[in-house]
Amino acid sequence: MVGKSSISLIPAVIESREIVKTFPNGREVIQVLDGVDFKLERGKTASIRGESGSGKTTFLNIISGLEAVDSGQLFWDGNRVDLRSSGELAAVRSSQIGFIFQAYYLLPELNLWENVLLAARLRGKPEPRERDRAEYLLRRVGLAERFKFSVEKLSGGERQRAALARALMNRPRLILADEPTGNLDETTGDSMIELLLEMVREEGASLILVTHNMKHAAKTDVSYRLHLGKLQPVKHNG
Amino acid sequence: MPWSFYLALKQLFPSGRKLSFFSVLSIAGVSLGVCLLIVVLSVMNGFQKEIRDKIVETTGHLRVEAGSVIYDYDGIMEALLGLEYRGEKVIRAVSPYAYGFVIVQNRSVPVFPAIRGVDIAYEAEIVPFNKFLISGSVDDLDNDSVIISSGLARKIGARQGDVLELASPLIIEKLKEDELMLPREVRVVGIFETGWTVIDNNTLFCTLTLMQEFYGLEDGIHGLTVRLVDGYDEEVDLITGKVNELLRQGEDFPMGVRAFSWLDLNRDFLFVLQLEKSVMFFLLLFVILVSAFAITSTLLITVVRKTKEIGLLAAMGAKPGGLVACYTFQGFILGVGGATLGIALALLALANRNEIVGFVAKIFNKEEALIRFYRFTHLPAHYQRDDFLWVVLCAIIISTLAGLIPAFRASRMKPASALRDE
Repeated sequence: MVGKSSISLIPAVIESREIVKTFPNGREVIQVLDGVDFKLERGKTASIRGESGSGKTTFLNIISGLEAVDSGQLFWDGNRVDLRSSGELAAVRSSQIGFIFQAYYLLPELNLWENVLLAARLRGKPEPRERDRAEYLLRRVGLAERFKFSVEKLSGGERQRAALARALMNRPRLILADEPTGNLDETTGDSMIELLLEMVREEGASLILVTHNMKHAAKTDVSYRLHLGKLQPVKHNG
Repeated sequence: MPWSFYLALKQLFPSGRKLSFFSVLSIAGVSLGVCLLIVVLSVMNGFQKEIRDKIVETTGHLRVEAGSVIYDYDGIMEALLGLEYRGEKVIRAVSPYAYGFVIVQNRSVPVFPAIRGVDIAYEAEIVPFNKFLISGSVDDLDNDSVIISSGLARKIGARQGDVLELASPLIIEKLKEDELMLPREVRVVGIFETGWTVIDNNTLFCTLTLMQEFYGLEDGIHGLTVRLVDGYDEEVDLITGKVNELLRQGEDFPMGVRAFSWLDLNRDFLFVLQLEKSVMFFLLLFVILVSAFAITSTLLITVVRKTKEIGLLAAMGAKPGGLVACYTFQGFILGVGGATLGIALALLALANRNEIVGFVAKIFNKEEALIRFYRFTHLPAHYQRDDFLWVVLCAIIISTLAGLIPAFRASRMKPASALRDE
């Protein structure tokens, strides 16, 4: 796969221009992102690799509006959003972006089905069709028998599949997966990535996958490497 | 239900899991505070009610006085008994009285008790003498006898059947006119005890005729005691106003005749009782305040423990206001839970108060002391709806406010930092 920079008529679901982000560290300032340009078209998948501390998670936080930029511009569906208030961003984020984290972050006080439905609940009272969708997604990720289970009784793979169902609950346009296989063994991790890509395509969503795993990165439409604050396209063999 | 309330309930009562230890501790703290407040206030109400009932029972609801001797009071009595309030006759009995002080001597021990001359036929409708008599009989009271209080009997060492010497202050008046008025010998035909210390310490009753003789009142009296029909206790002030209206309109009534309710006559004492209760409420409120700190620390621990979950919620689109509502609502729920449990505990404790007091007294071997010093064998209690409302309201407001600090902490978390906080 090759990082594509050619002109496309398909609108970009997310686009960043010249993103700069620094963090103070005592008297020093660490430059994490140094003019990052990035664009992902609707329905496409991208992977980002990089050493630990290279700024991958920071980049995901910035493009999801969780963290402010020092300079640069951010667009969602062609609309500039980096100047919007955190409240406005939260409202849009709840319907357009789904998150998957390495540590799952399922709420232990909710059962499995309630965790998935929480994404819809954050937007208002869940309607019957949303309850049906939560059930459908749980069946789709292979957790049909675990609806009422406490999330603490699930295995790591099951938890991550539940997190995938939750991320897709609101039919988001973009899924941000931050090292989703980091806590899983290789076999479970591989099947998780297969399921993730399959379901993202089924739902017509876009995906940005942050991973250390080259094999997983190679399965996305485009791949990048974040190095010294710059995002560089990566070519995969095979 | 908004997600913030839903999540607040789930954090306190998780699906398929037990109530968290911290929540139990917080609810227990609030409930103990509420329980303590309600028990103390209800027992104080009980004592207050007993005192108030005792005052009414021994002095009537109203007194009609003129500041001087009243003659021809039959018209006033008739008018009072015919008084209508909201279309109903509300005065059950009226009794004339004369009062003052006398010098009493028994075996060379002089004391100066209050003396009250009453017409037993009327007064029995107002004061339940037979209930208070510990020896003797009211029927034996005539113009040569008296009934004395238990405290007075102890002071002068008098018993039923003893003869006392009573000297009226009129002796001094007579002396000025070079006349000699000898003390009058009277027989003790009864000893009473009301439980109302003011009366029990130093009082004696005699007939109205004897009192009129003592004070040279001829057929005059000092006032009239009025008792209302049952059920009008709470409206005594309004009825007093109505009586005063009536007394002002009566052309044949003496100048300056006026009615005073028992509330008017004991206003200072009742104020002290109420003040005592208010101070107790204020002091015990600190118990709830202390438990509010437990709620704050519980919720703060929860916020710290759930930093990542809070980050996740923010990432999923939760607004800061929602997080504030979530944790403030938890404080509210803990307050409601604590108040409900506290009321239940208080009702249980009050229902078994005498057993509890008896048990504690037995452990410390203080049963006799309770009766001797505190003058009670049972603990009175009286429930007042307003007390319950205030206690519950305070508990809920304080608990809700206790949730604010953790709530604001949660809302101020930066989602990216919260998620990064590994």
